[in-house]
Amino acid sequence: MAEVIPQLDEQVDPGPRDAVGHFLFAWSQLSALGGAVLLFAACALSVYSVAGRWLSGTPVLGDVEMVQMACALAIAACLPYAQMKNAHVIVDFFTASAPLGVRRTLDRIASLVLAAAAAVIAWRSFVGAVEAANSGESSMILGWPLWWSYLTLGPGFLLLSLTGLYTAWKGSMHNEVGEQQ
Amino acid sequence: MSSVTIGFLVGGLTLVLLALRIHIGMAMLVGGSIGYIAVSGWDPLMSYFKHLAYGRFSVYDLSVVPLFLLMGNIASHGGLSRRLFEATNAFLGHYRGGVAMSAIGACAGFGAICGSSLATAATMGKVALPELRRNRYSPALATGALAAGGTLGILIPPSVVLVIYAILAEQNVAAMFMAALIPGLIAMFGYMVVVAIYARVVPDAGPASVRMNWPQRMVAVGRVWPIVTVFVVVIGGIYGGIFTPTEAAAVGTIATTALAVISRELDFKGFTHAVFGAAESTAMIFLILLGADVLNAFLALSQMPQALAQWVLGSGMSPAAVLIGIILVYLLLGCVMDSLSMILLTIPIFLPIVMGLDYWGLNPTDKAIWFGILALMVVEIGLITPPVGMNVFIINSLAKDIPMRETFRGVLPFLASDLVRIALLALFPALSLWLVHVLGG
Repeated sequence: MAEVIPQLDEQVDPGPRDAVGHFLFAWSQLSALGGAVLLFAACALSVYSVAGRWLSGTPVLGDVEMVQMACALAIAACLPYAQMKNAHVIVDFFTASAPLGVRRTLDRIASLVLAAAAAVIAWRSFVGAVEAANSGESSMILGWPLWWSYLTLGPGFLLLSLTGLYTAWKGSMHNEVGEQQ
Repeated sequence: MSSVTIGFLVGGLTLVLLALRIHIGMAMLVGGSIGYIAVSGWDPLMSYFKHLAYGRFSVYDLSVVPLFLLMGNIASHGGLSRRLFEATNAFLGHYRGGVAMSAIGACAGFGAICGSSLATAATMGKVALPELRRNRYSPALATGALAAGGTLGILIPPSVVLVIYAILAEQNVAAMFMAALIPGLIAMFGYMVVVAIYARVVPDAGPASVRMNWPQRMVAVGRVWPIVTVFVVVIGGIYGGIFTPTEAAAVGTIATTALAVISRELDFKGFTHAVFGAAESTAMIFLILLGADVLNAFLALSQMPQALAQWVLGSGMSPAAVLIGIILVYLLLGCVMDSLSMILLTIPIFLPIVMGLDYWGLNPTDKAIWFGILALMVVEIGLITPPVGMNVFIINSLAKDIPMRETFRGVLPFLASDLVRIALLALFPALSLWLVHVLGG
């Protein structure tokens, strides 16, 4: 299921009902929306650059770098939303016949692991950003400082970590396609 | 403990974590991290983590993935799938089994926009299943054809799994797309032949529908040609070396959005669905990629893949036996895992083995490309076989009155065509490589 799990239902997910969940879900949605806007911006830039190369032989300078950066940020921004929707992929073949309680417990542990890993990555990305700022590391073509690119991944992973904690606390429900509710 | 031993232990640990419902990406990340610490220590791991996420997410060749997902989602919400199906049906519907063949043809067309099998199955299923049932196709044939047709989403380029393979195997993404085209078309024709035979062997399984006249056909074609043109330009641009795949995805996304909005097929609600769907899939794929990156970094440190490759080479097994063994492993893994995770977990281990053996005297680049297409075809089989045939589940969830058993039974003949195609590709690498050589990928 690492591919697109298509939305089979036409209903918009109302999301969690409690205040914390509601807050996190709203932020995750906003974050994913921001990611999508960035992706469209990357598309527009790329098209503009291709058109420039074709029509006048002058592509946008550093278009590849800008698309790379936009996509990296967009991807990180989408991560928490997928966690709130329980969309991150698991293998449930071996535990399919285990009692529901066992599955729920395992899912909570999995969410905690995700929360911990995301927190570590957010922290290390931050450290990496500070170091890049100190060393003046910059992108190859545009010469933009890279520290802020590293930094932009932080919020996505931080929010991912929080959503992981939330799903570990509330218990996550993996709604596999084909699994009866 | 030697690092190779640690490599095997970490492989085992990762599989245990996977079985215990840890997210696939996280299981690979945790397993890989523990191995990394055991071989190099804590500080190197923490230092590696500093650039892990950015390093992985900002790869330009991977930028194509979210963009293609966006394009596929917009196309599927923009009514394109229905028009494709109406167009193929206008030409094929009056043959026996023709509506199912049209569904397969439309799946292939949709696969040229969408890099995912599940999305193709779901999108085309929603459009074609009601039509198949209206024409009183047997439940087994109707759902089987759609579940199998859905796999064309990934067999016909562009394909997310191929992009990932290209990066793992350090091959050109465009060349991989070229290599997949002919095998993908063979898959489509193979499925159509299966439908034709099925409809003749099983009476009343696929009754012929009304023949359309030419004016009606032209109307159907007229409704579909703008979008077809866009995709011919996009994919042709990649093959012709005019764009990079990432640029092609960008052009395709903008063009698809524009067409869907102009034709008023895409309202605001559909658009938000498409965008959030793309966001979700992007996140899913990249979380797995992130974990796989850690695991692969560790595997490279441990030298375990090389040791395994050495062992296989030294054991004197024939290349054919090794290849068959690899295919069997994929078929087994396909019972529990999705195609992308399988590729990410196994390619770092299998590729060095394959590269060390001689297959038809292929040079290293050709061999890597050919093996990638072969692996792609084999992992896709997992989508239509029990116990976790995701395509089957998706199609079946659209037709709740049809028992799952019936759908799996309907898939069987298509499975046979898959196996024949895999054997053909294994025996004749030129099926994938010819186009790459002609186009000079």
